[in-house]
Amino acid sequence: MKRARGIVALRIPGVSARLTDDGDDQPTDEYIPGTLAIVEKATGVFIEWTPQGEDECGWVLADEDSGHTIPSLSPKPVDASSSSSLPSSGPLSPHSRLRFSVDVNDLSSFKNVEPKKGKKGHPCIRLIAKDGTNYVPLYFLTQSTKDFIDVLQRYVTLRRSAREHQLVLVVDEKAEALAQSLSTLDQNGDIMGRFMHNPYATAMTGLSKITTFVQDQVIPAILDSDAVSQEEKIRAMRELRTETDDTRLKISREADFEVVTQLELPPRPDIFRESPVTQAVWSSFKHSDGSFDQAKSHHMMMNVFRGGVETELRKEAWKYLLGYYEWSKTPAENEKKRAKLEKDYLRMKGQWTSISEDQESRFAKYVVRKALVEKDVARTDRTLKFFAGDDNPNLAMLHNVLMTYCMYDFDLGYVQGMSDFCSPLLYVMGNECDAFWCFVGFMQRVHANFEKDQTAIKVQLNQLRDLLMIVNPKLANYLESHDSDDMYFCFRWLIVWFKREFSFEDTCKLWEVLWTCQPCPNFLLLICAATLDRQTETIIENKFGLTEILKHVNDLSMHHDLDEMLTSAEAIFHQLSASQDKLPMHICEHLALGDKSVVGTPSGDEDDE
Amino acid sequence: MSGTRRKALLKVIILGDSGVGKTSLMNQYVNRRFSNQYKATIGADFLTKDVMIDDRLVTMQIWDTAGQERFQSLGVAFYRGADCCVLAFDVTNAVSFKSLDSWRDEFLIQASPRDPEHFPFVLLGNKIDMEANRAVSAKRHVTMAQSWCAAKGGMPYYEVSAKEAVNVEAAFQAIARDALARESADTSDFPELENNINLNENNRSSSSGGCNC
Repeated sequence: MKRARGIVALRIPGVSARLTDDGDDQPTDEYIPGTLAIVEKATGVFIEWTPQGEDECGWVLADEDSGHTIPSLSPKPVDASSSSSLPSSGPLSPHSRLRFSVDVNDLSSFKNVEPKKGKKGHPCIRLIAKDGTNYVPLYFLTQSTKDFIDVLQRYVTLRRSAREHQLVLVVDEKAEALAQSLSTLDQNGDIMGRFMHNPYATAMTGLSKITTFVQDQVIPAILDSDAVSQEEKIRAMRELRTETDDTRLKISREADFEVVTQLELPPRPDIFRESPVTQAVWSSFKHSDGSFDQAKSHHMMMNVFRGGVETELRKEAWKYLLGYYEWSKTPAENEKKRAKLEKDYLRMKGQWTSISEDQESRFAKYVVRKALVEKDVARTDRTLKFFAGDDNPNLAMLHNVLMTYCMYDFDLGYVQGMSDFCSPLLYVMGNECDAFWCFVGFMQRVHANFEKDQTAIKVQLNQLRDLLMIVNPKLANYLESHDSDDMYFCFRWLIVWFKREFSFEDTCKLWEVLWTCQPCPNFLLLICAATLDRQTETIIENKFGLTEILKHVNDLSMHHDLDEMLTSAEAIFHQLSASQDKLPMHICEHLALGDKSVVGTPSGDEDDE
Repeated sequence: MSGTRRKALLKVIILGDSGVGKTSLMNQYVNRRFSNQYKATIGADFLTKDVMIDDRLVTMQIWDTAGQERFQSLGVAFYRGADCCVLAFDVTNAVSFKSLDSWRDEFLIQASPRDPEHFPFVLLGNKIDMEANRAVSAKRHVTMAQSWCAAKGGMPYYEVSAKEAVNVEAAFQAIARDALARESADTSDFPELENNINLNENNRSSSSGGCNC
């Protein structure tokens, strides 16, 4: 083992990484102090961030007979000597997993976020790699980001995105050269001139020339020899395709030849979130007998939609939102219902707890399900205090609820993702029976997501694509031309309602908003559209393809702003709603626009009048 | 500085039953870390790692997928262009071994490599740290796995522990070496991919997936 010597071109102490932790009550942002450096090494130039107290020179080449390992692009343990022979589960600094080192040649862009004028805060840099990986956000506590950017420019060419000022792109010299070649081709403006006379024929000839030129001259030049992997070839081809697409787009625009009719939506209104519903407000909506009348329950749904509910109120409010308690019933009546359902729960629980080992030996279907539940319970939200530690009784409760659900709906059984839905319910309810019946209410809404053929998810992904076509045609077209219009990268968002993208607290907030079914039943899709809308420039300017988009979207996890997402989604709803007479029929159907029985009425309530 | 340096990219897909340790294997290899708090994987994700193989710089792109069968149909676009498929099972769980055939078949159907008989698969038997819980005795198990591998055209088999970092590095190292060797022998597993890109100009609408609405 030998140290790789590097020349440190820049070293900035006082650069903290932001770690979003899944706290029990509030999502806590922790800032981990560390050092940012730009280091020249034999294998390239690297941007490295090391948490305080760790060996900054821990960059190690572990020589082995079989080859050496360069742990770039990935955080490394302090003791990198444990490469293959020793277990690496030794004592590590708790933050060593944040440590990273990225080759500047692998860098695609970075977000450079300055604190808002007049507001406190520190400038922040978030690096984005060519494969779509987003690195941990770094906050410059003691100085501006200028030195970093200046030194980085020695090695790569940077360009600030014209459309999104926070985005700084690493200019790909190959692509620039290609763009140059293409413009050289059209130097005499000949194509353009002829195009005005005969757009179609000229475009086709011109494009075929470009394509031929590119295939014969440019590709061999770029794709030199054996050193290029298949993926790189494919990527280069794809870029070329984009290039020709762009050209065509330009041509048709110049000729005032609009192919796609684009619907002009009204501007998005400003939307503000309200504060969560308090116990006092909740109680004030009740009749003297403790029930809610139709109008009041509807009004309450609107309040919950606009601000969620206070943490302390969740235990009561969620039972109503999930249809376990009925708004129109008095507390005594609901309590009576509860007592009956508790017996039901215990009866169904008894059905599986009484299966003996001997029975199990001839009950393979059951055994498989039980194993799935056990595996997932052991790995559901274990970082929460509520589920932490071995032999935690709350784990047993989660297990019992999910197993009993298998008995309640044996046709569906247990499917991965269900434990994600169940865990917050158990956390809030604190007992099996209430958690179970809330879970049953929740599952009624999302049952189809888990069915074997996955049709429901595919339908939602298609609906999302349709919506995006209207809301953000630029992004929708980009996704289509990059083989990503199946929207698969949003699969995780849809199947567990953003559970993996938010802290526990924010997930609870989002879900109670969605349970109200306001302002339309498919509001989740609008949230997806709003979230993607925000990523438009990042995706397009980084020229992300299928793989990179998925990685980028995955890496946004825990870096979303829930209030921002909710207000944008609502604003988009109002935009669409205001132009519903111009919208294609299927869009109105996706959002149930114009369907008086749904809009403004929480589903589940029979009568609005 | 080496701006002209070119890296080869090797795409590796890990498949296997839920809970056999696919995410753990990926993280152990890439980050040299184990946690028993990984959540069940939903959808698909990957990690990359740069390694030196005989003086070639290689980027390993390791794909982690969901283990429950019904989720497979959606993410198959990412199987395409794979250089190697890692099949993983849990040595303490006999069912996960029995599923290997269907995982292998599923991959071949979805990824449809040119020469399915010779597409490189590697078998990993994970969790050997839990020796005491082995579904069958260690010795018999190795024999079972080896004969399954032999029946599949001599698939390499490694017994590993993602938890204790046993053999993980070595297995992936071998995978990389193998894939590189194949690449330089110029056996493209997906020759049709390149054609698709060119054809796409004309048949984009038909390539946008068979949705039913």
